[in-house]
Amino acid sequence: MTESTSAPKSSANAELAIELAGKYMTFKLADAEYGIEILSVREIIELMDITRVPRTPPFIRGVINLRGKVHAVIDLRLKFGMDAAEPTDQTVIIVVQQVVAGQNITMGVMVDEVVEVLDVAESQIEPAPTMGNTAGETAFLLGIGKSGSRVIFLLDIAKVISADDASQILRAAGPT
Amino acid sequence: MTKQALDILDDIAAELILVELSDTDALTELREQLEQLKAALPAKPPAGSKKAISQCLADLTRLIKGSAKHPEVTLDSLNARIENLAATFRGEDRSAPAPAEEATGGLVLPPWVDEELLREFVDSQKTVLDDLEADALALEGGGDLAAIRRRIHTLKGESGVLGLERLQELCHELEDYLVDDTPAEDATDAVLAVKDWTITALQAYGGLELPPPVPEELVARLAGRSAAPAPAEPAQPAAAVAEPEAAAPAPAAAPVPTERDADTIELLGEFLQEADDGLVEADRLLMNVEQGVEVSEAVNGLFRVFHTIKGVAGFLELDEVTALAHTTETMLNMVRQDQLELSGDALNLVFDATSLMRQLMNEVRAAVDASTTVPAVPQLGALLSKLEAVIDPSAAKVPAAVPRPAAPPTQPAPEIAEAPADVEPPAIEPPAIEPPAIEPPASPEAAAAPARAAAGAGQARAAGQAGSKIKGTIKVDLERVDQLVEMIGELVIVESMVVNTPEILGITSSRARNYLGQLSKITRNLQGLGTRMRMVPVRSLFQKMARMVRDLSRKSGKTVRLDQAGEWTEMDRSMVEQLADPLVHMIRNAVDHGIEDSEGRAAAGKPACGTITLSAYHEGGSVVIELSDDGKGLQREALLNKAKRQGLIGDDVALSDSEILDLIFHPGFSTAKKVTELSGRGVGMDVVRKNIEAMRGRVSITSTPGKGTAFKLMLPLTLAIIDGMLVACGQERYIIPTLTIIESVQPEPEMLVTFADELELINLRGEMLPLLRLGQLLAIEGAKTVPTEALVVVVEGQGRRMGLLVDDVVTQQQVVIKSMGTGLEQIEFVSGAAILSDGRVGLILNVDELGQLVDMTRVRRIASSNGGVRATR
Repeated sequence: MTESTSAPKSSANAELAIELAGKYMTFKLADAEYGIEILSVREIIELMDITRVPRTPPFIRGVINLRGKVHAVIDLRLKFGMDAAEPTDQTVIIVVQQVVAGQNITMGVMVDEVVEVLDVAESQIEPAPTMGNTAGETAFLLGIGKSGSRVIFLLDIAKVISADDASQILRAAGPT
Repeated sequence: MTKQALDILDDIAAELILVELSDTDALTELREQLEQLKAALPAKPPAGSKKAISQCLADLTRLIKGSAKHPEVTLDSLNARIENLAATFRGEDRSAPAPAEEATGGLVLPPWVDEELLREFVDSQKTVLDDLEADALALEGGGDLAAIRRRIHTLKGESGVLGLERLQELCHELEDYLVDDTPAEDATDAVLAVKDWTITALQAYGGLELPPPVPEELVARLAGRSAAPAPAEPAQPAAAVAEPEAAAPAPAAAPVPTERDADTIELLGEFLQEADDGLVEADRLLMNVEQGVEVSEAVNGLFRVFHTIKGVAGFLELDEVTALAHTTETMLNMVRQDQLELSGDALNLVFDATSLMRQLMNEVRAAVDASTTVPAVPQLGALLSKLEAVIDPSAAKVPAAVPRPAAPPTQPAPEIAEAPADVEPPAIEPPAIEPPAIEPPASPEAAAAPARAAAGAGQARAAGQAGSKIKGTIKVDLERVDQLVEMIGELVIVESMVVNTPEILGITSSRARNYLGQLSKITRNLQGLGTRMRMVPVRSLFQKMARMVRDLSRKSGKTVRLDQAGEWTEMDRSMVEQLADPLVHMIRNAVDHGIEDSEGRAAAGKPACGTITLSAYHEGGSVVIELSDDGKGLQREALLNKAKRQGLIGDDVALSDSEILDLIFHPGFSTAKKVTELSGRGVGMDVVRKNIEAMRGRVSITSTPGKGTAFKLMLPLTLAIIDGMLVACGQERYIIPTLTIIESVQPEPEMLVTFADELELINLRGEMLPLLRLGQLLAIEGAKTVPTEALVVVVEGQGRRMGLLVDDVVTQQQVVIKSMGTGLEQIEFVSGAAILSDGRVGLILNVDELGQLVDMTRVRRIASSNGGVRATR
């Protein structure tokens, strides 16, 4: 705020844009396109056998064996409150890895289809709309990227896969 | 510049107070700041500051890597160093002789001792003390006093070198106290008391603090005894070995068949390995000296190498090695004190000493493998003479004139140790050696060296297992072992996936099938090896219990002894640690309440001394630890009455015998004080069971009135692998730990009872067990609903038995336990995951949690919350 006070808002936006600019892995859920910062993506795997874990919320699809390690898989459609969809041959699991609060979290995220790796420049980034409260799905949004006519929701993947999940799981598991 | 340095230091000091040991990021940041400080040092930094910073950096690196043995201690000393550093920069001369060298607490280390050496010492003494304790306990049964003397003496010597005065003094007093060959009755107590104090002292030393003073009564006890008229002087034979005067050489024994017990061979093996490492290090240091690189550090390092070798070799009675190490050490010490320059001849001598030492080690190794005594090495005498010539030029000529050319076989004469270096070679030489048939070669000198003779006798007793070779060992980073074990685990999974792939299963070529078979076999073997890598014998644990029984027996006034069996049975190291608590509880109970007092035992016609038996053995894929006493046993009536009074069971409930005994595991039951008196069993049995079940094990109990009580702990071999039964339910499969399974039955219609249309029970040979439908509990689609078409697996969790209705039993297999992915750590009814042979993930059922469900209302609620509809038959 040491700069001109005339446009603090836009300067904050500019900073955000600089921060968010970079490569994103983009994918689709229903008709909308989303992006995950590329450094968080460990790999993309085909849909495989998922073992259901009882007494967890529906968006937890279960667990998979990834080269001997067990990882949870969440269905992003259900997580975002959308309708479930039958898996197609486009359906994939994006394995994301992120350090959240000192804990290294690796988790599978099931999406409809992967689109591409997209370089989003700072000029193409706008802040996420704040809708009064940040409780809903918009809490997962870092910003919005525009590439031509495309609109890409840039996700805060750490928020998507972190603590919220754990607490929701516990809540769904009922009082113990 | 100094100002800047001070600012950085203050910052670091402030952050150090707040930093968490687990917070590697913060630690890394601290390290960066220190690096900055190092870079910002003024051209002429205060004396010692550079070194202190390097030490701080090293400490931090250790903390970050998690390789510090005692992170808390390291952190403390780091704090102190930073503080001292700041003081140095401020120009305050806080610790004059060597700023930031000595940390807090007033422990001043001799200049040649650094903290690392001290910590190594502290760490290494722990096992030594355990052994000392074992020896002390054995003393009561007529054990080997000489072994204790040797240990105490070694401890005294080492603490002396390290400047740990209090410890040294205490050891000295204990040595005096033990001078008599017939130990006092309370000698064991004295040794144990010293051991206990030493543990506290070592902790303090490890934290660079002075230990608490030795308790008055202990001092008095030791002094009282040693003031008594002591017998002849030579009763301190071992002492001579490490005395500074013990310079003279004399060993030239021809190889004589000898036998060593397994313990000695193990010790020798470890010693040889360590010595080899040390000598490699010595070579490196010598090169440094030659090139003039970091000479003073190199000399200190060399000193340490020879000192360590000397200490252990003295203990192992390798006289030649001890002599060489000692003489070399003496010379190096002179170098350190600037009385001698390490160059030219002197340097060459150290080179020679190093290579001769290596040769000696090879001789020792060969001798042990061939079960003979260590043969003489001809060059030794000459080299020793040369070394002594350097150490004391005036006295040198005499021994130098006594080379030992192909001397006739002589015995190492212990007297030589007392003879100064400039006296003639030992006068006492046995005329000839008669190969001792049964006695070890120490016998000819037995008269002069009672300690050694006693040790020899000890060896002869244990000689049954002699003839084995030294086992080579290497030290490996624990992390690497874990990685290896993990990789093996993955290999096992992939192998079973490959072999079970339908395409592969379809192969009919016998050659291919043969190869696959080999692959499977090797994988299994590898898995077995991997599992064993982390395993340690339960011996150390048993040892602790022996000590405890002894202490308890004193306190309670009952005579009780602990018999041990199977102490070499191995199990996962972490499990051995976790077993300690439960065993302590159980043994305490056995002594306090199980074993009768002397009148009671006499009245029951039992021997006055109560016996507790602790044994370990393998059974199937599990380790069994059994603890039994020959006390009065559990009184079932008393148990029942109390349980009824407490409302744990109804008045008219008929319990099976095992259920009655199981009452003692009930939390509310055992904590009530009155119950203890009534039942004869005490506090904490619920904790015992909880601990055992946390290790995926099971505890069962048998008791015969008047004869005693026995607990049987069944535990998996490791925490990482369990035997599991794979059951199917609908399209899903779950793993039930085999240790929790009692049996499985195909229910007949008449076995099934439904109470009030809500609660299902299964009548198993008269025992009514609640029936839990897995399909309903876990909301599994397509699970069988008609019990008679399905299977009931009877399991036990939290001491409760129940029937678990599943569709089918698929197979029984070992599974490697995996943690559930992040975010799924606490799933109800699931304790972990495992990779099945088809590569899918199978979930391991948490039978304990199912056991808690047996609170019936909970069963109902959960079943209905899953939308399950209770099917009736």
